[in-house]
Amino acid sequence: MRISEQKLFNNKAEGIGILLFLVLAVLPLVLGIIYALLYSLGVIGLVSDGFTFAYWQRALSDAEFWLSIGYTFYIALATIGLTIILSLFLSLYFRKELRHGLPGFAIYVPLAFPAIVVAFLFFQLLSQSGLFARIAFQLRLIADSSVFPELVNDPFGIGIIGAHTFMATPFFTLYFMNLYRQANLKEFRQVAESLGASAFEQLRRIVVPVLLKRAFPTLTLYTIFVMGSYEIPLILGRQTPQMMSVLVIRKLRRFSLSTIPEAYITAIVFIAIIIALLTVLFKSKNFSYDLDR
Amino acid sequence: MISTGRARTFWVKVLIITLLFPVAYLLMLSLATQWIFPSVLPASLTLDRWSTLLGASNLFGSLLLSLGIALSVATISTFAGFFSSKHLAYHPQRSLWIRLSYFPFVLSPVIYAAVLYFYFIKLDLAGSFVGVILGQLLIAYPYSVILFSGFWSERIQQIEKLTQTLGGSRWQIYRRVLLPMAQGLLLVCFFQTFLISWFEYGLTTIIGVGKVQTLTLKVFQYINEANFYNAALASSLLVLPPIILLFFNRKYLFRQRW
Amino acid sequence: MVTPLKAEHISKSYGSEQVLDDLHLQLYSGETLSILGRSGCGKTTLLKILAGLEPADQGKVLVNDIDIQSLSPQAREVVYLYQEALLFPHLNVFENIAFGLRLRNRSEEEIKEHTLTMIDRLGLNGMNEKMPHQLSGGQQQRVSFGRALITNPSVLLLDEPFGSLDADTRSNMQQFFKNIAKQFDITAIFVTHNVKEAMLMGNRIATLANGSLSVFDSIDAFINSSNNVVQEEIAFWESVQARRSN
Repeated sequence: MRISEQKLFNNKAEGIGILLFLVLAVLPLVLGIIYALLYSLGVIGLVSDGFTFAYWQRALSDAEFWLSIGYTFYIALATIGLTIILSLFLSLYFRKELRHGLPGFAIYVPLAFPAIVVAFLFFQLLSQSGLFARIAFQLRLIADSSVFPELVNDPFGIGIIGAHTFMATPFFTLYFMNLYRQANLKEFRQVAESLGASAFEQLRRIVVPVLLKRAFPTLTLYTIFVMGSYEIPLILGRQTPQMMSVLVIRKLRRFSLSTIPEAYITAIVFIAIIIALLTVLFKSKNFSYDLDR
Repeated sequence: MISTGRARTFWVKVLIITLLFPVAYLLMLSLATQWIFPSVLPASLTLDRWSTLLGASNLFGSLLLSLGIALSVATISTFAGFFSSKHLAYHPQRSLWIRLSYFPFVLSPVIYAAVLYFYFIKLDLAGSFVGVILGQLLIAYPYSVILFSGFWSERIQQIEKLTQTLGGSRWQIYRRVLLPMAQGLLLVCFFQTFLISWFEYGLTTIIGVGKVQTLTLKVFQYINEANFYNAALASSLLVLPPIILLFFNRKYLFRQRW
Repeated sequence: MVTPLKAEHISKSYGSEQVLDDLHLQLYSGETLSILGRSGCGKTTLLKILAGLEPADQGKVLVNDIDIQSLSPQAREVVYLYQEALLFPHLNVFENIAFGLRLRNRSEEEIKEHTLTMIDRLGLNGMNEKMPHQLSGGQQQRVSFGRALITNPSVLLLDEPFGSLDADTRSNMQQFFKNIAKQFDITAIFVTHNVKEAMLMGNRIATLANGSLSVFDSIDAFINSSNNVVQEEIAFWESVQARRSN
């Protein structure tokens, strides 16, 4: 009698395929977290004096750290909120126009912009000597560049939110247009109409809820993506408050080595937040990225 | 919503201008001889900057470097992702694997690079061309796995087994059946992973220790030097290839990259 | 004389569920054996084991007296056909049928000659350039047969091949299969859950239930066996007849 043995992999190809994944996608994350943890606990590192919670205590009592977490959430949520409103409007109002011709091409153009170029562009347009300030000056709305409102490197992150929204809105406009077709919303609207729903009621009760529900996973992933963005807050942000990714790199690159453990603590907390958000997302019923066949 | 046809046309035009204006602005800035406050338009335009920077200076080198890195990252991650995702998708633990592949992909690249920097130094990869490719692969490859995971359906599995009974070897199954069937998706994945690399700044500057001067690093360097004309030129070099591609085929650009 | 297909002591279980239990089977050259069974009785598992696509927990499968597991997939000469035609969507009719020959690196002239002959015999003349999605269900199924037959396999395993076709096309295809089975001297196992189809297609009939296979030496032996679906069927039509004559 042949007893079928429990094998980890069915064949060599499967072994290689999965091993590749473990080495490239799982192992680095684990190693990264371990390194950051050890550094933050004083076990390793250039300034290490042996195991200590001192760095954690210092980091957790630092107002800048908490402010940075709050600011990161604020920027991401403001961006996603603004993006939802704008892209719902564009995708529903200009649905016909955006499908063909020049508008159909133009809506894709911002997708060809890397974050660093968008940041540069917004700086050029919104700064006090930027294009908008010049136009305001020529229109005699302002008499001097310093009177122009601070829109970049401002305390409320207006420039940062604007730049992110510029990148996200075309994407979600196209995404909503796709969903609209996939979800047969045209037919559902006709059903609602025959039941006596006005155009506004069709939008409010059928179209918008369906679109938002379907888009929920992607919206969440995009929010996480904005939370971890670097180039845009680096160029358009200010010293405080700072988004977490910028704070990590700043503390890592200071001349004084003493802030390095704090940089790694911020990184660990950021990774923990992302893992928590993703775990919640994976539990939600709306998440249907072919996870289970 | 009430709007007359004419008002609607007007707003469509406004939208188009808003979307296309950034490209025009970057090009104009890169061609401007001088453009200072409070002028709304540049004093005059010149091609000199384009010819000097593209000819002799190292911007052309950066262009080639970016291209080399992006092509390598796209090629490796597309094929490795295709191969891996097949085995992950057919594995009993499928849903665990796909979930795991989201973590490195959505994690902030710059923070990922920061916690991995130590290992890159230990492997003697920091500051090197190969190191930057490997670093970018850590983001592009999981993306590729996610993208392909939807391809491996029960039906594909049946077709694969059928091909096997018709006498196809493993290599023949890939070459004659799986790769041709996935052709469209492979192209999408190639362009998307190309763009992930082409657009990448944060991870590249850390893993490359600023020594691997891709175009995005050049843009940042020029911004830091307050040389906005050069920054606009480098930005144009980054933006124009995807836009030209977009003009010919837009489906490759529209895919979630996050 | 070699036996095209023989299975000995086949057992297979998934977890605690015993799907096949010490099963025996022998196929004679040129015959079609119908296997009748309800859905979920293990028909598909049996076929996959016979095709070498899945290993059995116990027992062995012999193709032309050679253990199938010792042969590379290319050398097994057992083609398993699914309920769906599963034509390659990126290839046209000609290339779908020629596929097996291309795998074997045959010369261009040989491929052309064989494939065109096959297309002719399948009654698909003029369809060479059509893509799979342009074909009807019956035509797709014909191409799928042609694609298998061109490799000249020892055994064809058919898993409810006409299950997804409508009634008319289905009877059409049944006749078509009878014809080509004779023409090509096909040795086949035909799995179905339809009694009439089983009787129509098979030279012999077997039933699969509770993991074991009961093979009847002839159609008559099957009809006369006690407690089977044929009796129910006859009883049903007799009752209809009786009601009409009342």
